[in-house]
Amino acid sequence: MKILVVDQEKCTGCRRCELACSFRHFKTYSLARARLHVVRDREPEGPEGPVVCTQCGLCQVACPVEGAIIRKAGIVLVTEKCDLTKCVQECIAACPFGVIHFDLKLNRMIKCDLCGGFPACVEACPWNVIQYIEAGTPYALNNKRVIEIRSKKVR
Amino acid sequence: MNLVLRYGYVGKMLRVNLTDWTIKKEDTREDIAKLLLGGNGYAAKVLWEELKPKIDPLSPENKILLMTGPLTGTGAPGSGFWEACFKSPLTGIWGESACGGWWGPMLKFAGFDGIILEGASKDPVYLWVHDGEAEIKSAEGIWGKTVPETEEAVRSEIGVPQARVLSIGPAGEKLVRFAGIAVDYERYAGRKGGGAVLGSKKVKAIAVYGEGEIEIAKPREWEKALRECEEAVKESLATGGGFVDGTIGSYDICNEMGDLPTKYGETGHWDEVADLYDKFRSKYLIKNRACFGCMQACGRVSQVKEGPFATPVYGGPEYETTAGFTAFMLQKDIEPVIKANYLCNIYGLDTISTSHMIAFAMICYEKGLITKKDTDGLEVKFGDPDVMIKLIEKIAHREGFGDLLAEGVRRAAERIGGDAPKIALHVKGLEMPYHDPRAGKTQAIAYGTSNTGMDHFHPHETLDVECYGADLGLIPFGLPDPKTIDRFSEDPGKARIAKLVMDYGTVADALVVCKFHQYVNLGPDKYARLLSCATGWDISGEELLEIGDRIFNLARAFNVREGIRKKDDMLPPRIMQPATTGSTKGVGITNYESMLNEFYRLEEWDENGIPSPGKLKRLGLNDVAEYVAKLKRS
Repeated sequence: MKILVVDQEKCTGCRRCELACSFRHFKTYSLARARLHVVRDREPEGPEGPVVCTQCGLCQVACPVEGAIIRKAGIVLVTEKCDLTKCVQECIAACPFGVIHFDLKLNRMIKCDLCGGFPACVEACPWNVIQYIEAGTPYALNNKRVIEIRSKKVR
Repeated sequence: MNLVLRYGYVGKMLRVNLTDWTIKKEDTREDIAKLLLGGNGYAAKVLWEELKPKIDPLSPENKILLMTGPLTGTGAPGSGFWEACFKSPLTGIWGESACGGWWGPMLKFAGFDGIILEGASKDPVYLWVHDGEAEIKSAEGIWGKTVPETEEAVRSEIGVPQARVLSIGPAGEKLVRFAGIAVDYERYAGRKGGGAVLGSKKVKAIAVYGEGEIEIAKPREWEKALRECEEAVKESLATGGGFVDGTIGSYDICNEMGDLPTKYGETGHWDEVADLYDKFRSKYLIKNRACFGCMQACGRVSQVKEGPFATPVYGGPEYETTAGFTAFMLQKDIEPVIKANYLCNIYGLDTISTSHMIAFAMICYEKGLITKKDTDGLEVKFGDPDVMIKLIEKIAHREGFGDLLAEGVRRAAERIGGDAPKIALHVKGLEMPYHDPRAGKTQAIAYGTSNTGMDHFHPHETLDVECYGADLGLIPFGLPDPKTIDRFSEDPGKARIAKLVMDYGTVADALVVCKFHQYVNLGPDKYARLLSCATGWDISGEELLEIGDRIFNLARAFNVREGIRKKDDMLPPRIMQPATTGSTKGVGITNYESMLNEFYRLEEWDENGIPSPGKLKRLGLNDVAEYVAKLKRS
């Protein structure tokens, strides 16, 4: 299975990944509608990097609505059955990375769907910070550093 | 609802009257947007219509526009810019300053194409703009703070850590005439005194945050056009184009080409700093940082870890700053530069004008025009880093001698008297930046005729074409192959090159994208296509250049209304004299006026430098044409 991994050292903070993500899914540009986020540890000097979904499935486990979040070929997807009247947004609380959130226009949660196997963020990054590779390769460990940053989230 | 400006633009402008604290939302005007896009074009029209001529730039009658453009905040390469336009307190004429960071796009996501600030508040305020709304808040407790302190205070007060903050430092509050406007701690709309204009209006900061979106008219075609642009940029970067080493990375080559003004413009090369960039890179550089939407990342995060010039980690010096604080004042170390840049950043000073003023003080001291009595007992000798740091503090707080320097070189030279006005390097009151017009003669034309004064960035750094071989994608539009241009020639034909490059430079400030992306294969045709797809209009590369021409002439007309004529387009004598060292040794500027006359002919300006009513009418600027026609009759 392939997942997104991040080499935070190389990130310049340009946020082209977020732009590409919102455009791929909604044909508009909006940071708020992107499914990954570039975070910076401390302003202004801290290291920065994108936080991406690892398809861990904790949101799926937490979700009380039958069939609202499913796993299909390793990719965790939010379906049209997502209904906020039936839950207290357990998925948001469960996500360790803060990369599942509510979209006002769609009226349901959105999260990374890996663009069906050709992630827009990977194509958009000028510095190959985000890569789409087999899970378990040593390179994937780099995501850990971003998780540390995420705990002090300042976007 | 404003249906036409739904795409590319977000369709709303925010008008804030600070005198009576009223906030008005108005539609982005379609008539202006179609004619002049956004950014400097939109602002030029608004200021032309709304400003009375000859007002004091620091009075409440002045207005300042903080603008974005149709491509800001989109995926277009270099879309992270915003533009401040106002009547400059330094030059008394048209002032514009472009800046990167993340603030501009965030303003659009917050629902506005731009902010018009008018009047002046009695008490310090800051503005909180979010999700299509705006509030004016008291900045009583923040006034007096440095830029980083201000940003932190504002962010914690509004409670939104993701908000982007624009602010001024103590220099802006004290109305230093070249105080800049900072965003995101380290990015500056530095030049021409925008910070002083905000200071005069008592606006300390503007925080923006929004979760809105920018719509694209033709998404499918846009995607294709964008991919082509991205490929073009990557190809250029892979073959050594652009600024992947930052602008400071071109320091050594500028030195080699005689393009590094040394000893207050005496020459264009200094042996002592031949390997300055290597020193910087090996010891002080921490990482590269990009603005929003950038594919190059020219920002250089750096730090001096210890010693008298220690600084925290911050967005370090770029080329202009480094050139100003080294060769221009014969100072040969990089550590004081990093410190000086840091101080300018936190106090809200323009690094170009600040370093220029310090070097000016040094040359006046050397020539005996000022003595220890004038300088508060300081020995203002060339190359002394400690004096340099002390003077920055003095300028920022307008203390003693710094109060004089804070007035800018034109006013300071007049007050010092004697030979000082002859030495002073400025056009229209704006201090010379650090590119030497002797190294590439089109730059002389650009310095002379730029609407903002002696400016390397507005409309454009033309010597990059003849000196460094950049073609800016302009070859299909009539630019000769840069390799075939003799950079020292003063043939009147240089005017055509200058005009083409300047028109294209003006376009970037109207689209409000980063000019550095013009260096990486993104010519007018590419940006025209992006603009067409984004807005749904149909615009070609030629039309885009015509828009540049239109804006340039409109801003010229603004200046003519303020009294600018041909005499103001002349270069300072000191920079025309032959350089004494390096590859430009013996090269002076001797034929400036014939190049200038040819430029006037191409622009259809008369012998006084006034644009022709016929051309203005042809460009669709009827009210401006009428004014000029009336002026010519009187």
